[in-house]
Amino acid sequence: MRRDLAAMLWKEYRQFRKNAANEIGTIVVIAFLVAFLMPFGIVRSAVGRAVEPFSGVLAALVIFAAFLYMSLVSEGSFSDEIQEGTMRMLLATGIRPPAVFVAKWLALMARAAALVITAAFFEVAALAFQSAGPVTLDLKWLAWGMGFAMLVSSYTAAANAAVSLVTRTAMQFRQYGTIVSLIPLVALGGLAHLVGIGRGAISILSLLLFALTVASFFIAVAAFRSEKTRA
Amino acid sequence: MADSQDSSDREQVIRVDGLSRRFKSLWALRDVSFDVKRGEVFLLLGHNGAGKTTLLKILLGLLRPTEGNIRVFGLKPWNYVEGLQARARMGVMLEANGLYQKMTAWENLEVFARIYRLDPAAWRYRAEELLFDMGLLDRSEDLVGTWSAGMKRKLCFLRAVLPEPDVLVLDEPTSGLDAVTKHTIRRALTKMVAERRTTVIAASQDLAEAEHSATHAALLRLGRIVYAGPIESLGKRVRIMKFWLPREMDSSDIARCFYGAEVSGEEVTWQGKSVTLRFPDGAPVPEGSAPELPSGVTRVPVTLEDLYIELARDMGDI
Repeated sequence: MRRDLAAMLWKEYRQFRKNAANEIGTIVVIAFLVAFLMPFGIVRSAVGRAVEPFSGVLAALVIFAAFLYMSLVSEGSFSDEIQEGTMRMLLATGIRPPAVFVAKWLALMARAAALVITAAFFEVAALAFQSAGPVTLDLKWLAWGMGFAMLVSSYTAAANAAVSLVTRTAMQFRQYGTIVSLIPLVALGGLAHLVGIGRGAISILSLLLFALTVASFFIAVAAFRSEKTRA
Repeated sequence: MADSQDSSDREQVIRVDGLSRRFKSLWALRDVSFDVKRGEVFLLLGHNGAGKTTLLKILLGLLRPTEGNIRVFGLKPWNYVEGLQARARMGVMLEANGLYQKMTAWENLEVFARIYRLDPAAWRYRAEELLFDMGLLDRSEDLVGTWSAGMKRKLCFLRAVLPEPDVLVLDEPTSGLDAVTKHTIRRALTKMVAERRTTVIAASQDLAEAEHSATHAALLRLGRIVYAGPIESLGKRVRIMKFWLPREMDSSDIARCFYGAEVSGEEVTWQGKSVTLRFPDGAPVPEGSAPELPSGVTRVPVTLEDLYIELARDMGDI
């Protein structure tokens, strides 16, 4: 399994390198847009004092950026491979199918990490640029936001990859992918609103996201065993 | 006796036994049985939709049989663990190329070299040799997406033989290739079979090409086996002779040499200046040329394509 995974990670890396300018460009553009979406009116009124709610906004924006980016890059992550026949070719070799899925997921997570770090950096930079004065930022909130953004990315990547295996074509993916990735997140947001953002709520939400990610892995494994994916 | 049975079992690479596959109400394969032994080049023949590709997909574990059994080295391809073991010993060239268009030839080969866990120095040396033989070495650093269809097909063949597999599964290997490339592929195949006793199972419509290398064949019709066995036996089953005639000669003259009387349309087929004589069951097929054969008439060998056409005629497909 380890060597299969290494082979598939190498393939993902080569594919990323071929498209590196586009990939990096997308990360920078999304991070930049999200940073300048910040409500700067609050920033100006907050000059000279600590603003915990504003730190929450920073965290929320990183999470939003991660979800937006992951939805974009994981769309049809396997549909292209299925349509071009490379997936069937891979499955016709002695490779373990879970390695194909896990490598794709890890490659998406690496992209997500790059986006989350870039978005957080741009947010802090934009804040410093716009505030024209000292703003005391509670970095604990931002760190929490970055961690939760990775969990959201993890689920979105796994769910979209699993859906693209089941639906096979990019057209079918668009019908189901958004629903599968968006509905649980909206539901989690509603739950968070109901229970209030506290340590307990965050733990529950994180556990739910983890469980959804694991469920997506099981769906993917089942999809790999199905003839619809293989043949 | 027991020893020879054991040795025969050891040599057996693929065993298909009563294999059937249904897609909804359509039976793509029905009660198909045959064996392929080590070193055989086994050709799957049949019209479009006869079930050849379905059979290859079941062999690769991509499809599950509805009924019956299939074993490769005694392993079930559909079973998860056994399928992995079987596929690790197989080189594959599918009808769809399955190449990464945005990668170079070397990168495409490296993906599969890593999957098959080939020694980096050894596979690179072998790949360079094969790329050179196929006339692809000069373009090996270009993206495969910029290549012609024929070049991509050649790379697929190269990718299939790179791990030096025990079994080579080929689906329409020479479709879209020029004569020189077909010759190169045939030479590479013949070498693999001779040196490593590689077993080859191939579905092909290119009968003229397949004839050069195939040792055994199975003819599929509507998912059922019509014939399975050595190519020579297929020739004995189809009772025909073929001649080339001089431009000025009436083809019924030559038919009379053999039949000794006026012949009916069912016994003789003309195609350009080629004439095929069909002999009824029970009547001996003359070994050589008839002594009274008019001058200028040449007997030509019956090709695999002729045999295939005759079988199709027997089955009422023509």
